[in-house]
Amino acid sequence: MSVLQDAKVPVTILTGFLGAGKTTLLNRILHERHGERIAVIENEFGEIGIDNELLVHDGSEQIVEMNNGCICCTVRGDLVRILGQLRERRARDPEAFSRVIIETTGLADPAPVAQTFFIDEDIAAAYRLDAVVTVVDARHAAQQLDESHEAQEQVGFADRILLSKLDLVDTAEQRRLRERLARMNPRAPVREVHFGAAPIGELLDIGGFSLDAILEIEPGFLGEDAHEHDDSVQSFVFRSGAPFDADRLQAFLRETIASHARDLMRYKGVVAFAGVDHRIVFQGVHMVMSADAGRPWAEGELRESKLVFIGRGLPQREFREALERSLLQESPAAPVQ
Amino acid sequence: MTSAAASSLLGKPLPCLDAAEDIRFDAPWEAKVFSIIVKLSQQGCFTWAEWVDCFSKEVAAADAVEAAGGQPKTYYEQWLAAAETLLVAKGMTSPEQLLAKRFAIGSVGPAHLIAS
Repeated sequence: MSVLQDAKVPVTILTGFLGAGKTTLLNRILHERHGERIAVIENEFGEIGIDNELLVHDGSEQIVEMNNGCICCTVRGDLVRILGQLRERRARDPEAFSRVIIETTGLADPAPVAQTFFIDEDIAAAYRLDAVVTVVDARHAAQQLDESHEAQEQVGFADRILLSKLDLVDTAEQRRLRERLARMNPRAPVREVHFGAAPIGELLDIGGFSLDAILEIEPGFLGEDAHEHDDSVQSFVFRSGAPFDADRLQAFLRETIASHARDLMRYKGVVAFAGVDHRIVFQGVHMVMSADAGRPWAEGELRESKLVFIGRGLPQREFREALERSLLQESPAAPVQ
Repeated sequence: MTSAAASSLLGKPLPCLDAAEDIRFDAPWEAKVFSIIVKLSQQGCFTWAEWVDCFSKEVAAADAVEAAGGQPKTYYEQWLAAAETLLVAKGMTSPEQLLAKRFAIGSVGPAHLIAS
C-alpha cells in the first residue's frame, strides 16, 4: 500500500481567519519552494495557479451531496472538477506539479473540502490529503472566535495551527489564546509565524490524516482558566490504562458517530484491545473513518489508550461514561478536563 | 453453494475464468474478493496451487460443518476466509490489520471506510 500512497500527490488545505495572513504565507511557500511545482487552488476554487501562474477562471462554490443519502458525505463538486482537470494535466505531463495547496476563504467550511479526498474515489486514488493548516491572527483571534462560527470550525478542523501577528499581543493574551485553542483542539500543535515566514516543515508533509502519526495532546489542554469562553467547538480527551473490549468500543463509535455525525468534526484514537499486541489506530472526519494496526506495544509498556474527539456541543459526560463502560475492566481513567 | 462447484473451479488453472463456466456473484463484494485473488495470483504474490491448497481447507471445513448439520459458510465466504488466511501467511496483511478494518467497518459501515 505504501508504494501506492507515495505515488499520490500530497494536498495541503490552508485555511484561516480573514486577514490572518494566508496569502502572505502562501507566497512565502511558493517563493521558498521555487524548485517544486505547486498547483494552487484558491478561494472559490475558481482559479488554479501553478507556480503562481493563473490558469483558469471559472465557477462558483458547489456543495454536492453524494447519492448514498448521507448528509455528512458532502463534497465540493467544484473541487472534484478542478482536481480532475489537474490530474489529467499531470497524466499528460508528470512534471506539471508534484503538490497541491488549496487556500480556502475565511468563510469556507473545511469539512466538505477535506471529505472530497475520502469520498470521491477518483480523487482519492490520485491525491493524498496531508493536513489542514489553519492560520490564526493572534491580534483579532479572541473576537473572531467569539463572533465567527467559521473561525471555530477552522480551529476544530486543524491538524496544525499557525499563530500570526503574535508581536501585536502581550504575553498574557498570548497565553490565554493558546490555552483556548488547545481546549478547542488539543491535537493540533500551535506554531508561530512572522510575516509569512514559517519553517516549511511545519506546513507541508505533516501527515495529519496519517494513521502512523503519533497522537500528541497539547499540554496547554490542562490550562486552568478553562471556563472563560463558551466556545461552540470543544474537544474531549479520554485516556485509560485498561484495555478496551473491541466490540463494545465499536458499538460506542457506531452509535456516537451515527447520532453526532454532523457535530463530530475530527476524532482519533490509539487504543489497546484486550489480547491484541498492536496498537489499533483510527481517525475520522464526520462519518468517514480509516483504521489500521499501529506499532506493537513494547514488553512491559503501559498500554495506554488515548482518544480525542473534536466537535460542536459534544456530550462529554455521556461520552466518558460510555467509554468507561467499553473498557474490559473497571478502572478509573486519568481525569482530564 | 455445493462443494461440487468448488471442486470444479479448483481443478482449473489460471485464469480459471472459462467462458463455458457459469460464475455468478450474488453481491459486489463476492466479485471483488474473487478478482483480488485472481489478480494477486497473476502478479505472483502466490501460486495458484498455494491458493487451491488454502481454499480446499476452507471447503473441507465447510463440508464438515454441513455434514454435522450446521450452517456452513457460503461459497464466497469460504473464498474470503481463505483469502485472509493466505494473505496473512504471505505477510501481505496481518490479523491486527484485519481487526482494524473490521473495527472501522463495524463503526461507520463499509461505505464510509477510507482505504489506508
